[in-house]
Amino acid sequence: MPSRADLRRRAEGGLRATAYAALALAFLLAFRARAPRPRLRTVSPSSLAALLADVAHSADSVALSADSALDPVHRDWLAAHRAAGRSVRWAGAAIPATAIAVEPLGDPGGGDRVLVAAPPASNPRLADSAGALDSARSASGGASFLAPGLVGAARAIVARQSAHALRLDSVLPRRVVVFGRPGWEAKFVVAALEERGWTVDARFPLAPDTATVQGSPARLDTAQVAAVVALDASAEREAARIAEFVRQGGGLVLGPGASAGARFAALRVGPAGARVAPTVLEVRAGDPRRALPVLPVERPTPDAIALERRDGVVAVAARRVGPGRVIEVGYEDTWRWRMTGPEGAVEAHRRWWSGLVASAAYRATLSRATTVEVPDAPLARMVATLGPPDTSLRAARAGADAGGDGPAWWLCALALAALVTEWGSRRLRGLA
Amino acid sequence: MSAFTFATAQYDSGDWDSAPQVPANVIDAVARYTSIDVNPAGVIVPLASRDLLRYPLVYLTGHLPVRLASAERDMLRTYLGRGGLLFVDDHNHDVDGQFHKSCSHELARVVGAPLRDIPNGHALYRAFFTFPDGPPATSHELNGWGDNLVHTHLLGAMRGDRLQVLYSNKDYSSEWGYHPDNKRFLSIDNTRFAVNIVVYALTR
Repeated sequence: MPSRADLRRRAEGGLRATAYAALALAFLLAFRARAPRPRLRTVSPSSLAALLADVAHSADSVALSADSALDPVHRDWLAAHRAAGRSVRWAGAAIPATAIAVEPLGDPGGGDRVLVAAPPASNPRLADSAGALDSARSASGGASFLAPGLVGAARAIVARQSAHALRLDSVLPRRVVVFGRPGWEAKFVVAALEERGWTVDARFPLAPDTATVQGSPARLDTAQVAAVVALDASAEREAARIAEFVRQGGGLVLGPGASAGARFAALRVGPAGARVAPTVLEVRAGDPRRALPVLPVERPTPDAIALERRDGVVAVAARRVGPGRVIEVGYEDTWRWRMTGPEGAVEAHRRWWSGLVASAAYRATLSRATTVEVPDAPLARMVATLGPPDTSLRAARAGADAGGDGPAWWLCALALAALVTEWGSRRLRGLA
Repeated sequence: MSAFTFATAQYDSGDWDSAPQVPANVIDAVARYTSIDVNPAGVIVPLASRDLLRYPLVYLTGHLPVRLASAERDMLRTYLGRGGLLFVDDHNHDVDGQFHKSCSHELARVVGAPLRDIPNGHALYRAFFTFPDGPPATSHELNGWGDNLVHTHLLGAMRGDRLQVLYSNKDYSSEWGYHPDNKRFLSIDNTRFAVNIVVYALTR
C-alpha cells in the first residue's frame, strides 16, 4: 500500500502533466486560430454602426446574434460584405416575426384597416407618427385594427421589434345604387349612405309604370358603381342586371325582402327564413339590432361566412360570387334603430350601413408610387437579404463571448494553477 | 316592412284637431294613385311623446296660437335631427294670423333659423305629380277670410339637402278637409299634392 508521501508525489506529477497538457492544447488552439473564424456578436442598435465599421475594414467572417431586426442600411451593409466574399451568418431567435400592411377602407368616411402579423399570444401595439393608437392580443398569427385617420406611417410594435407601413393605395370613389320600395327603410338607407359621403342613385317604384328615380340607376357597371343595395322584392326586376354587375366584381347588399325571391337565388347567401320577432322592444345602445325583427339567412352556401348571429340564427352573412361580393342582411326596419334609438343612433346606423356597403363594394384603387423602402416586414426582409438564420449560432453563443478566445485563456489559467499548486506542494515538502 | 301611417301631431296649446278629415283624404289619395303600402287609418301622436319618432312624416295644423312646451320642443328637435319631416299647414291661410306668427316663431326656435321660401323647382313638386308652378293654389286662399293672398311659395327648413320642415299658408287643411268619396265631384283631384308630400317624405 503506497504511503502518504508516495501519493503526494504522484499528485504533484499529475499536476505537472495537467499543466503541460493544457499548455500544449492552448498552443494547438492558438495555431488553429490563424484560420478565419466567425466572430459572434450580440448586436444592439447603438453598437451596430461601430461593429459594421470595424467589420468593413477587416477580412473577418461575421456571425451576428441580433435581438431585433436590422434596419435596411445595416442589413444591406452586411449583404454587401457577404457579396465581397466573406461569410455572414446570423441568428435571431428572439426577433418576433412581425409584419404590417395598411389598406384603405372603401368607406367614404375614410379610415384604414391595419393588418399586423405577430406571434401567437403576443401583444401587438399600433402607433402612427402622432403617437399610440391601439393594442390587441394576437389571436392566431396577428391582429386587425381599424384606424380612422393615420398620421404618417403606421407602426406595429411587438416586444422590441417594430414594423412600419405607409398607405400606398387610395380608393377611387364610386356610386351606390339603391333599389327598394318607397318607405322608411329605403329612405333612411339612402339618407345614411349619403350622409356618410356616398353618392347614391336610387329607384323607387311608385306605381306599375311609375317610379321615382334619383341619379342614374340604370347604369350598372363597375366603372361607375361600387355596390348595389337591393332592399326588397321590388329589386327583382333588376335581378339580371345586378347579377351581371356582380360577375364584373361589383358588390351587392341584399335585404331580406330581396333574398326571399327566386330571382336572386343564384346570388344570395341563403333564402330568408321565417321572421324572428325582436327579443327586446326598445333599441339599446349596446346591442341596437336586438330590437329589430330579423329574417334569418337559412341554409347558407358552403362558401358563406356568417358575419353576425342573433339568438342562434344568422342575421348577416357574406359570400363571393366570382369576383363580386354579396352581403345578405336579415334585419328588417333598421330605420327604427336610427329614429327611436338612444343618443348616437343616427351615427351608428349610418356607420353600420356604410360599413356593409364598403365591405361588399368594388374597390378601384390608385397606387401611389414610392421609392422609399419601408420596413414593413423586417424579419422577412432580413431573411430575404441575408438568408435564413443559422441555428447553430444559437448553441455557440452560450459558450462564446465577444472575443471568441475563451478556451485558450482557460487552458492557460488551468496550467498556471496546476504549476503553482505543484510548486507549493513541493515547497511544503522542503524541496526547491 | 312597415306600411306608411299618416300621423297627426297633437300639441298642448291651440286646436291641433281642426282638420279631422285630412288624414283620411290623404290616405285615400296615396292608396288611389300609388302602390305604396299604406295603413287605412291614421294615428294621432303627442308632440312630446317618443312615439313621435315612429312616424317620420307628421302633419300639424290649427287656427289658434301655438306655444310649444319645452318637452314638445325638445322632442321635435330630436325628431327633425334624426330625419323626420314635419308638414305644417296654416288653417287660417293668414300670414298676419296668430297661428302663422306663433307657429313659425316656434319652428324657428326649434330648427335654429327662420323658415325660408322653398324654390318652386324643388323636387317636392316633381315627386309624383308634376307641379311646374310650385305649390298648387287652393280655393280657400281668396275666400275673403285670412289674408286674401295667393301664396306663391311654401316655406321650409332644410337639413342638408333634405326638407325637415314644410310649412304652408295655403290652407290645404281646408282644401283637403272633406270625405274622400266626394272626390268624384271634382274635375281635378285637389289632393294630388298630398301624394307628392308623402312620396317625397318616403323617398328623400
